[in-house]
Parts: sequence; structure tokens; C-alpha cells
Amino acid sequence: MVDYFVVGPYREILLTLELVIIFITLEISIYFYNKYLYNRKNSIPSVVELDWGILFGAFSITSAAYLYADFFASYRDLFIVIGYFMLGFGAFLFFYHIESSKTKKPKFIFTPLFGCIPIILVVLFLIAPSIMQSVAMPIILLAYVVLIAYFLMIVKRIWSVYKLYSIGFLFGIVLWFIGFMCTSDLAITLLQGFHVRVIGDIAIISGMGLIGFFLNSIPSLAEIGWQKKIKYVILTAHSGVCLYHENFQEKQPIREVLLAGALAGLNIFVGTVMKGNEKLRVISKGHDIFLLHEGNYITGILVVEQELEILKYLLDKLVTQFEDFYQNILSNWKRDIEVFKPTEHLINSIFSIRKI
Amino acid sequence: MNLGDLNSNLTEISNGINYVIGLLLFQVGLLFLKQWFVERKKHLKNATILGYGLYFIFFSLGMFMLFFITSHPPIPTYNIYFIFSIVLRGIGVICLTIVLELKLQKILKTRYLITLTLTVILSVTPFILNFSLFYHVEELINAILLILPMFFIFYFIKNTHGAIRRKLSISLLGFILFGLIINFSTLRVLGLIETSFLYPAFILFPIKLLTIVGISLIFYGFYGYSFFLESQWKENLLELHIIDKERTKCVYHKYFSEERLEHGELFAGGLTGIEKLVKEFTDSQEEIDVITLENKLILLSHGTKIISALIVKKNLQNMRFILKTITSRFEFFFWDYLKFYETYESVLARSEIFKPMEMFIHDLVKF
Repeated sequence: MVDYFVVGPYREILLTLELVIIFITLEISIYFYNKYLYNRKNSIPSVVELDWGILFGAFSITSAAYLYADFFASYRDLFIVIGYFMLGFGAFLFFYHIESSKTKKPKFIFTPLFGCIPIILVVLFLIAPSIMQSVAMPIILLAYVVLIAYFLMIVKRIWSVYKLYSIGFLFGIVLWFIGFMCTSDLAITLLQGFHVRVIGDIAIISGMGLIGFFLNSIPSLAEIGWQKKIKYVILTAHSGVCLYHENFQEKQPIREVLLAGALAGLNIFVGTVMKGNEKLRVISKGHDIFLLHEGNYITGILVVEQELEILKYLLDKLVTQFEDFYQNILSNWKRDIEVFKPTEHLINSIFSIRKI
Repeated sequence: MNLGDLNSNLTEISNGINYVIGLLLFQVGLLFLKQWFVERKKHLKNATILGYGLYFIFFSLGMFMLFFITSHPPIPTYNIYFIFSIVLRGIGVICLTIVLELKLQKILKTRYLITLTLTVILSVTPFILNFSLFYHVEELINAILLILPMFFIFYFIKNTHGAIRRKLSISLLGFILFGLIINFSTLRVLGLIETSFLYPAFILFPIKLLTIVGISLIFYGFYGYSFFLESQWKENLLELHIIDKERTKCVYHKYFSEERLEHGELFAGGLTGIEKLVKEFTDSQEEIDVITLENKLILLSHGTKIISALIVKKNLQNMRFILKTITSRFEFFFWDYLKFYETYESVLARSEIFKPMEMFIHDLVKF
């Protein structure tokens, strides 16, 4: 029978590593919450900040409860159930926020599931504490599977631009998962010792390091929610004639044909007034940001809510592919804009979005 | 649980927290080094943040070593580790003084005297280990470790504005709290606490927590913006144009560098015209605030009667702050002038009218 109360040569290293985990996760949680507050203050739609803040915050409190249970508590099971409760409650808040923030018809699938778990575990602790951990383990496994699926979905959105960072991020999540499993009572029982817990803690810290590296490497977390930030796509000839336009958020009409002319005028103005043949890249006008990319024949304009690197990349791609596709027509254009109607398919393939 | 047990539990946790402190310091160092590395790729040079980065990295390594030896029973090689921890911290501060003395040589005029003095002190440290003087040298090095970065942060606080100044002030507060650990980690103070108190952990544990708060404040103070660019914001200023909205005419301009607009006379009319058009064709009444070009930016600030346009190389928070200040001050000082433009124009030369503005801008942007 393995005693889970940590004593002996591993006590000091485990205490140090687990304190590090508590502080790092708490730090990441505060970082996200701070971002969320900043976005709210500046009326910038928040994508994942609050969800991730809750997730890491819950993990930090859970780790603190486990640490107290395994190192200092005289009644271990009480703090273990507090840990489970916090983890379950964190998962409940996390899924509730995700599922309730859907713009249309929110479906609550995981919220009730993860809402019940903390209650079930507390009831089990009160009536049958011996089976509490056996029930908790498959639930935690399920939660991790769902979380990994969620992170895969997140990474998919930015895969085209941030491949390497995305791999690092996913690897970090997997390490975190493996580490958490290695620190469980089951792993210690199976492998007969605390060495596996040391390995688990190191894996968690390495995973956190990779997640931290990812967060510091992408320009902004808002990059993840880039699809919701697009309002309009406008393609114009250098003369200012609008060749194609598409409205993604039909709630805010603009006069795109005239706007295209005005922006073309601004481009000419910049070229005339500024030295060194400067070209217009971005115009920021409160909550409307105009991203511009000038090709050989046309200028692409994206009207967006936030200036994101991924959107600039996709605009460049759109202009290049449009010019490649219509090269013969553009080089000898007869002012017939009907020929550009198939651009809809190009836009759908590049931005892969449905109208909101 | 009795007080003795609580004391031993807190001592155990304090020993663990020591490494958290080391890790957080290392993280602050990485924050600076990352900024330096990223901007270096863009061929921008700024050794200040490299200095701060190395300072924190070496400092954290020194602290790791110090914590390791102070939280374990005396080991035979204790003295070597201890000297090594001081040398590591000393190298950190030397890295910082070299770059800061280089950057601020016109102001400081110290000719690397601080760096040289520190190097000499650090070189003699191993040889005085067995003398009572050693403790004083350790305390002196700790004091320098703390005061020097604080002094330079104070310099940057004086030379920045708005949100950046606030953030740097928070980091200064962090440095003061962080100073606690330096003072409470010297051999003499540690010995004093352990002999004077029955339960020393009750003193040391809150100090460790305060230190974590301090380092977090330092981290917060430098996070979320490029200290690299904001600390040299003045070098990115190019031109300022103040445009009378009604007359679409430039009423005041100032050049901060040799680089000028090609057709400055078209600037005011073109900008206001295009702005009106863009505003008309979109449904929101918000004004254009930034126009980003390939290598420059035009930052705009809208007053009741004027538009201030600042042409810059980088969009920095310091610049947004001074642009906003200039706009409001200009309208405040010259409201009558903007209202009765023709009368003033015929009586006074324009250079005379705007003399107070020259002084005001000079104070804001003084080099």
C-alpha cells in the first residue's frame, strides 16, 4: 500500500516543483483575466481570454489544494475533494462561458455535464469516500479529451499562419495532460513511488513553458477569433472603381463603391505628399479598421474590427490569387465588373467563413 | 497544529518559494531578451533592454545558488557557492551599467567609472571572504544591485508620458518591494532573524510573498508594450502639423528631424478632404486616428477646431499621449486665434503667435 503523504527524499523537490506549478498557472490565469478586462474596457470583443483565465485559475487552486493535502494536511481526503470540486467548478464555468457566448442558438451540452460533476464528487465524498477517486479519474480523463478537442479547434483557426507555434502549443497541452496523469494517485500506486510524480511535475512545468512561449509569440490572442472580426471585403481597381465587394456582417452598411473611391484617393494623396513612394497599409477609424494591400492591378481592402496579422496575411493572399486568376482580364479590362462575380468562391476558400 | 509545526511548515514552503522567486526573476530577464531579440531582427539597436535582460538573468542564477545553499545544511563547498552567487549577481549589474553608461554617457559623464568600480569590488570579493569586511562588501553589492536599476528606471519615468510613465512607476514600486529580498537574503540579516526570533518563518514567509508581489509588479510594469521602443520614442518623431478644420489650412508645424514631406502644402487640404469622404461613406461618426503607411505612420488627434497630425516612424503610446496633450493645449491657448484668425494674422507674425507653443512642445519632447 502506497502512502500518498509525501515524505522522504522526494519531499523537498516535489514541494518546490508544485509551488512553481501553482505560481505559474496563477500567473497565466491573471494574465488572461487582465487581457479580458482590458478588452472589455476598450470595447474589443474578447475571444478566449476569460475562458482560459478560468481554466488556469481553477487548475492553480486545485494544485494548491492537492499540495496542502499531500504535504501538510492531517485529513487528506477533504483537501483532495476540495481540489476536485475546484477543477469541476472551473470546467463548468469554462464550458458555460464558451457555450453561452455563441452568437446564435447557444447549445448547452458540456455545461450541465460539468455542472453535475462537482456535486456528484462532494456527495460521493460524504457517502462513499473510498470510491470517490475511482469515479473522479475517468471524469478527469473525459474532461481532458474534450479540452484537447477544443484546443485542436482553436489551433485549426490559426494553423495557416502560425504552424510551428501551434505545434508547440499543442505539445505543451499534451505534456500538461501527461504530467497531470503522472501526478495522480493511480500513477504513484502503479509505479510504486514518488519519482513518477517528479517526472509529472517536470512535464507540467515544461508544458506550461511551451504554452507561455506560444502566448508570447503570437501578436495577440485575438488572432484566434479572426473570422468574427471581418466586416467587408472590397476589391478595387487602382482608379478607385469597385470590382467586387462582400459584406460579412450585414448589420453595418457602408457605401462600399464610394468608399473604394475615397480610399483610392487617399492612396494617391499619400503617394503625392509623402517622400519615398509610401503606400497606404492601414487606416484606423475607431472600431472600423481598413487594411489595404496594393497589387499590380488592384487594391484589396478589408474592413475589420481589429488589426490582426493573420488578416493582413489573408488579404495579401486574396489579392495575389485574384490577380493570378484574372490576369488576362485585368491587363485589358473593359470596365465590366460582372466578370468578377466568381470571386465569391475565392473569398470563401481563403476566409472559409459563412456570413454571420 | 502548534506554532512550532506551523513555523516548520512555513519554513518548508518559504524554501520552495525561494525557487519561485528565482524563476520569476528569470522570466523578467527573458521578457527583456525577447524584446531585444525581436527588434534586433528589424535592425533596431537598443542595448538598454539587453542590459536589463542580462541583469535579471544573472541575478536569478545568483539567487538560485544563494537559495540552494541557505536552505540546506552547511556543505563543505559552501563558500565557493556563496562567492559564485555574488559574482553572478555582480556580472548582471555590470552588464546593466555598461550599456546604461554607454547610452547615457552625455548625461552621466561617468566614463565607465561605475562599471570599473563594480568590477574592482567584485574581483576582490573572493579574497576577503574570511574577513569581517566581507559582510559589508556583500551588502554594498546588494545595495548597488538594487539602486542602479531603480535610478535608471527613474530616469525613464522622467522621460516618458501617460500610460508608460504609470507602468514604469509601478515597476519602480516593484523594485522597492523586491529590495526586501536582497536585504533579507544577506548572511548577516538572515543570521540575525534566526537568532532573534523563536519562529523566524513568521517574519521570512510574508517577506517572500511580498517579494513575489514586487517581482510581479516589475513584470507588469514592463509587460504589454515595447520598452525597447518606448524608451527611445523621441527618435521616432518626424513632423507635427496642426490643421484648422474650418479653413483646411495648416496653422502650425514643427519638424523633429531632417526628413520632410514632399508636398507639405497639400497635406492639410488632402488629409481633411479624404477624412470627410471616408467618414461620409461609413456609417459610424468616429474619426480616423491612425494612417499606417509602409514605413511611417500619421497619428491623428481631433479637437473641436483642429486636427493634429503627428508623422512618426512607430506608433508608440508616448506619442499618442503627447499628441492628445498638444491638441488640447493648442485649443486652450489659441482658441481666440482660431476663432478670429484673420484679425490675428494681420497684426502679428505667425512665429510670434505660436511662441508659447514652441516652449510647450519643447518641454514635452525635451531631449
